[in-house]
Amino acid sequence: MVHMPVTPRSMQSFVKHATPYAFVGPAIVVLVLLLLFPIFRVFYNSFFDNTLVVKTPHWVGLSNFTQLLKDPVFYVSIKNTVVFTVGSVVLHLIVGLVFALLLNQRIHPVALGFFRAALILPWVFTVAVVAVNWQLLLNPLGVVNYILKACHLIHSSIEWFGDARYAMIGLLLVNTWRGYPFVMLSILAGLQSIGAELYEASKVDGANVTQSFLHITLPQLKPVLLSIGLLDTIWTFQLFPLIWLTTGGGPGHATEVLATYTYKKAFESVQFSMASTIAVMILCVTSVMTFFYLKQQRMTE
Amino acid sequence: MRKRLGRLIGIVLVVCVVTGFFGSPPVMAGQKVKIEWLQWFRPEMGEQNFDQFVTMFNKTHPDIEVEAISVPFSQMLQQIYSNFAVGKLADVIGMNMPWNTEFVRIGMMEPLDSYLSADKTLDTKQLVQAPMGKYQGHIWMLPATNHCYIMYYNKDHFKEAGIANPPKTWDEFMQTAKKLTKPEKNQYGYSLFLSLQGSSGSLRTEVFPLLYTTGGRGVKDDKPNLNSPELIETLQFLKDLNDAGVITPGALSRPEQQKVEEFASGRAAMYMGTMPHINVLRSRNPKLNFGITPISMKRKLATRNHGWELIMNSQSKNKQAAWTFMSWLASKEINGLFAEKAGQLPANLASKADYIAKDPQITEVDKIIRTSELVEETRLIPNQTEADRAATEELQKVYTGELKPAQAAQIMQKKWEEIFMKK
Repeated sequence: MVHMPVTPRSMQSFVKHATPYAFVGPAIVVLVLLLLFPIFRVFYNSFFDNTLVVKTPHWVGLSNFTQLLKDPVFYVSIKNTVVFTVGSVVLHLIVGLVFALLLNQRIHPVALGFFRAALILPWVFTVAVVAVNWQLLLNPLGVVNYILKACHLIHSSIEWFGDARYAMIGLLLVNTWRGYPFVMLSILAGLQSIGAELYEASKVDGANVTQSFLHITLPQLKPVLLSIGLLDTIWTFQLFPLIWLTTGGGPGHATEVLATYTYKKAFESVQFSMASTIAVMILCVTSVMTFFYLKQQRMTE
Repeated sequence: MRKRLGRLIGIVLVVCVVTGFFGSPPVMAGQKVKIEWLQWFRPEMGEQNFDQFVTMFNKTHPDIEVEAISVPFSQMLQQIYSNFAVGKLADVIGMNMPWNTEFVRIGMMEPLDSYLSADKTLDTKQLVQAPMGKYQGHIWMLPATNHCYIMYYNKDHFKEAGIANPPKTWDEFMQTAKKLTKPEKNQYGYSLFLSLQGSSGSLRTEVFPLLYTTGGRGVKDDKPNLNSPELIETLQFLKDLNDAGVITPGALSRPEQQKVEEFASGRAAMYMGTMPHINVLRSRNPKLNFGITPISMKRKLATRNHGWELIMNSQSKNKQAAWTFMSWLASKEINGLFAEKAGQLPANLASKADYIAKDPQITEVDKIIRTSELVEETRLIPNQTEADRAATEELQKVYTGELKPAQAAQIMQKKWEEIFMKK
């Protein structure tokens, strides 16, 4: 009988341990190919003078980063990104909370079902449809200006996306409209998990609606609000399609955010390395935010 | 045993899939050469108008097979850069003249000089000259169609306002536009676009055609020429039009398609556009009674020459086959038909083009192109997309009154000098 180098028992043990990895394997391959490799490549590209379209890229070390830090448009785009992100998230939370409270009322189930569906609609449309729709609504000859003039709130039409003073406000309006449903649904789930006995007890103690909202609802919702707020911040920070399709970062640089600036550097100035540099900056900031999000998640568990 | 067999079959399947992805059948002698043609012409011409040319070529050239890859114009640049970066760019590519300098800089195009001189079937003297001009010592583009910038006007609005003829000069244009503007009816005299969205340039579309009628140029001796009296007077003219209230509101956020839509829906009585818009307007609003006239002039009849061109990928593995196709499309036998189906004028001036005389609007464009001074500068401007955007940012400020035309011209000149230096 031939002496087998590997005994059947250790072979079985190997298969037992390797099987889970085999199941996870395809997902890991996809992750590496579609996520880790591109991220590594972008990092790598940011250390050269230009890549992809030049035959011999030259190593420039951190020179792209120092050049970026001297670029005034970079700071404008940081400012706009912060304004847009903070504004959107705050408005999402407020509008989402209001609608979630409304949806949490005990009304006829058919009516509830209708309103729930209607209020989720903005989230369902694709960005391109949302952008075109709102461009028409906010057009100087559009419906919004008509209503504002009819209510005597303005004398002459506002060029929402064409006026540097109003473009960011217009964008915040559109993004709030588009983004509140997700926040609303999350808060609704949170509201429905608040025990009814808390409200009953407070009623016994003589609390009114406002007091029970401030002292029961909000504190109970705090983990949800924090969690969804952080998530929304991470997503809005890198938002590109909505801004690109409505204002393109304009007029001038009034709504230029880091994402649109990256795109312009890549596909208009054809400076892929500089675009990679900005992308690395965005990655660093969102990584920090993600770290806090994960930490917060672990604390609530 | 069964388990082992099952595992073996599994391995064989995986190997087949993997090699199916990465392997490709070797080309044997006598097989067809396949070339790809990346363009935006098909969406704009319509499938029936476009496909017949691919079919015709493939039939008459059994040793070459052309596969057309169609992308909307707004995505062309992105597609070209990404495909080139990974070495998967098509052999023949539809070309827009403003992209010329950028593509030369990255070495994307194959110089056509040797192909042109070796090709005895194509008489280059019969081709429209603008795209054939040398840049950095070589010819890069072969023209497929030819047209120019023209002024569209709404004949019904003109009749209503009692205006017999479209304007010929800038002064007449201002008067005409004022008469046509009725804000209470949401009707305005003129529409233009100054949006920074996308890669369609306001400077080359709204300013340059007017600039050329003053005798001015954006580039002189390969250097930027924006701080010139002619450009300043052109910027002033646009500002005066805006101050007179004759331009449809919202120009700063309006992309080009919306400008065409405004004319099609009757909200604007005039606008400056290119010849392909004829078909667009006819399909958007068949009831629209529109006419075509030369661009109103300051000093002379002039306009910006434009058209669709073809370029060859420098990385192509089938350059001779690619050239055969390009030469075929530009030949006098085919080019006339292609231009007709594209709604433009032929690039090969020797081709049969009876359709021109049959359509009064096309006849008008043909007349304009033969009587105006044709200027094409965009192919000489480095990083045209970036340069156009940089200038449009200042143009927006002239429009809003933030900058005077002379100040804007100075800043534009400085920005362009930096961009030209990056060449």
